[in-house]
Amino acid sequence: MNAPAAKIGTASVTPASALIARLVEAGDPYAALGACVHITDATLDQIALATRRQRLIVAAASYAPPRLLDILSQDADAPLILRLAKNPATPADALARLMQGRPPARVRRYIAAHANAGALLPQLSQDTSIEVRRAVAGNAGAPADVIARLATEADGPIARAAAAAPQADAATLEHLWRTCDEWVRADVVAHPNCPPGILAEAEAQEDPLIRRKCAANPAIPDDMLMRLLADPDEQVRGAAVRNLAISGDRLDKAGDPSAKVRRLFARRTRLARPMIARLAADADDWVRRWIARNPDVPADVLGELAQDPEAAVRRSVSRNPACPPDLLSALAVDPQPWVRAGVALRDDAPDAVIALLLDDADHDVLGALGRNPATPANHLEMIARHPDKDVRRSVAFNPAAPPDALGLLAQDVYPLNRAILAGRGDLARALALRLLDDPEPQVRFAAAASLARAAATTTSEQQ
Amino acid sequence: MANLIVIAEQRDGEFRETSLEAVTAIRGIKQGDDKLSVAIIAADPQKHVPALSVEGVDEVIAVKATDDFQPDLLEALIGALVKDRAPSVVAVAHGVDAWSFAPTAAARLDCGLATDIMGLKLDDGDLVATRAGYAEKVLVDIDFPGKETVLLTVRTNAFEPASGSGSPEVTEMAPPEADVATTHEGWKPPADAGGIDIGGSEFILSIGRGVGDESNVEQYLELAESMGATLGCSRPIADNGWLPKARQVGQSGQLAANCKLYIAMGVSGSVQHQWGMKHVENIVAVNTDPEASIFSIARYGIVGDMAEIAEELENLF
Repeated sequence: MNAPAAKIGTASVTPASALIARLVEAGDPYAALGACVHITDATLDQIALATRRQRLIVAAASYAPPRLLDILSQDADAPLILRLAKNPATPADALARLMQGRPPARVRRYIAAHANAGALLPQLSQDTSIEVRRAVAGNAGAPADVIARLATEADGPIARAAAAAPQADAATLEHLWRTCDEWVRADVVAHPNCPPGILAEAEAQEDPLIRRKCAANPAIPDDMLMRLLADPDEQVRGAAVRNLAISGDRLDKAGDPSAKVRRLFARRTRLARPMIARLAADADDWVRRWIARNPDVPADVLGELAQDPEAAVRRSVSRNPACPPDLLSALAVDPQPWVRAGVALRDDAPDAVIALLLDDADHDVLGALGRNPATPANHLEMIARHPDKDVRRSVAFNPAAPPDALGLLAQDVYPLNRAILAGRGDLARALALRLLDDPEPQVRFAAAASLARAAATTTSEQQ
Repeated sequence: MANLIVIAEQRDGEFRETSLEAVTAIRGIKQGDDKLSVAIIAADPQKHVPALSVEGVDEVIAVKATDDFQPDLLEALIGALVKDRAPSVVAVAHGVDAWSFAPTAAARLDCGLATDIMGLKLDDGDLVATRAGYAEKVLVDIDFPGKETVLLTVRTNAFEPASGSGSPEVTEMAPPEADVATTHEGWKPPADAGGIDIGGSEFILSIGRGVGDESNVEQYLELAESMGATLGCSRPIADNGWLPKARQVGQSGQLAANCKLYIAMGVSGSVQHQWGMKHVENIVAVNTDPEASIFSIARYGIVGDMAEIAEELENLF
């Protein structure tokens, strides 16, 4: 008889103070850093940043809490400054502090590209280094006036970045359209802020690249998109089919001569029933593979596709969320393991299907069952004992894995399996405490983070 | 005259082509009247003589014993050959088989040893082997001062398999006495990969976490097929069940042994993934993160959205 599935409630949470005391006593910088992500404590901060090596690690770590990165920015030398400028988690205040130190152009370029550099961008857009100004133009947070000013520079990379900048306004795009090469013009006509007049010009261009980019514009007028759907160039038609501005049920009812375009039809949702039927009978394997994944396909058509001679089509059916239980049962005995593995991933598969698949010897099938919440707990324990480390690891991803199975993984000889276990958001306190003593730093880091997360959540709820 | 010896391998009675790569490595340092001999242990060693009769091989030493893999027997064979013939070099293909007898043989016989070599030359008459160091970050030249015999394990796919016809003399040799400590329980072939051949593919398109969702994976399967590539993936994709394990490249997956062009899309480039592909001569990396590790080993890098790049590639193929 198995224990009930692990439910890590707040009753089994280590209080933050006790956790901090233990981590301080251990003095392990990796565990301290893991806890720092969720708990603010000056002593833990000191342990996490105790050595030069540790400070360099933290400065480059995208998971590091902004608080630690801010501390590091207060007394940073050149290697630390470079890492902080490159770290996407570095907060705006820290970036501003780095700028006050007059860093070299290489560092300014990283700051100019940083997502948190918004307030610094006007200043950086007037930097003497062209590389820095190019980085500003490529920063998605650059405001319209900054983009407009940069777009007046006669510089190809800046022009391309400006044409793709989310904040680029109509006047800037108009300027770029009139003054730049076809590659920049292609980006201009794909931009949602592209003026209608330019789109009309683009539609009439001989260059299919320009028409293709025009067809991809999410703000394109409806009538123009319908015309581009009938363009003689298949790439232009393909771009129009991809454009979500047109509803699937309005797509070509007569079919398209290009298999490449029909494959794109099959990817779209809200297709009309006759089109679904036609695509399901298409001679092109890829069209059938795509339509077999389409959640709008009715059960009777899926039934036909489930008997397709191409195993990849049957695999697609097994992964279709609309696939009914009887079809899953049929696919569970498919001769191709990859099809059966598709069924084994389904948490809505009937119990009998799961039971049938548990006798499978294929590693992909067993791995899929290992991560499937519908797999019975006692079988998950068996999978957690499997000789193949990859099969065992699958249980670590299963939200319904029972404590005994997770306990097995905590002793797994393969470090990655323990690391992934330690990274679970619902790790039991006893397991997390055990993993705090693991020989692998990444395991200790994740275990401490798990305990700290639970402690912080409890503290927050109590407040 | 120097004696040069290659220990050839068979597995379950099937000759292993990697032995011919070791022959090529040794053939490259053969001079004048040097004698290149290839020894093989098998239940029927004579049947492997034609495969070993390649250009440059002067002698095939046929040891009739067993087709089972017996590391103690192989170690004893090396011991006997070193004692009787005092070869300057003994070479064997690098791999799990060699790991279990080559280092111990070298230690017992006080030979020089270099494993996983990818280059071999004579420098002023002295043997110099090249191998990778510091997790493949640098190439290291190794010499063997004072060693009469050097034992080498030769990296797979670093040398072309020896070809050209030869007519070596065949010498039958009784199996040496060996204290065999292992028992052969049977041969278990690798799991059927469903026709997926990451190890043999010359062109691999590989996807990583950047693919985002299972529904996007099909697009890259289609793209790989249209480009004539084999689709590979990083560990998280296989762990999610989005692609079969046979497509995983890396330490716990497959080695892209024959790959000449590797396009990594949305792959961050963990050390474990790099293990399987960093040796590839042409690596193209596509990633939105300009700091992704994959760029440190890529010949060409594109900082950009893999979905956009894939769409452009779909238009080209």
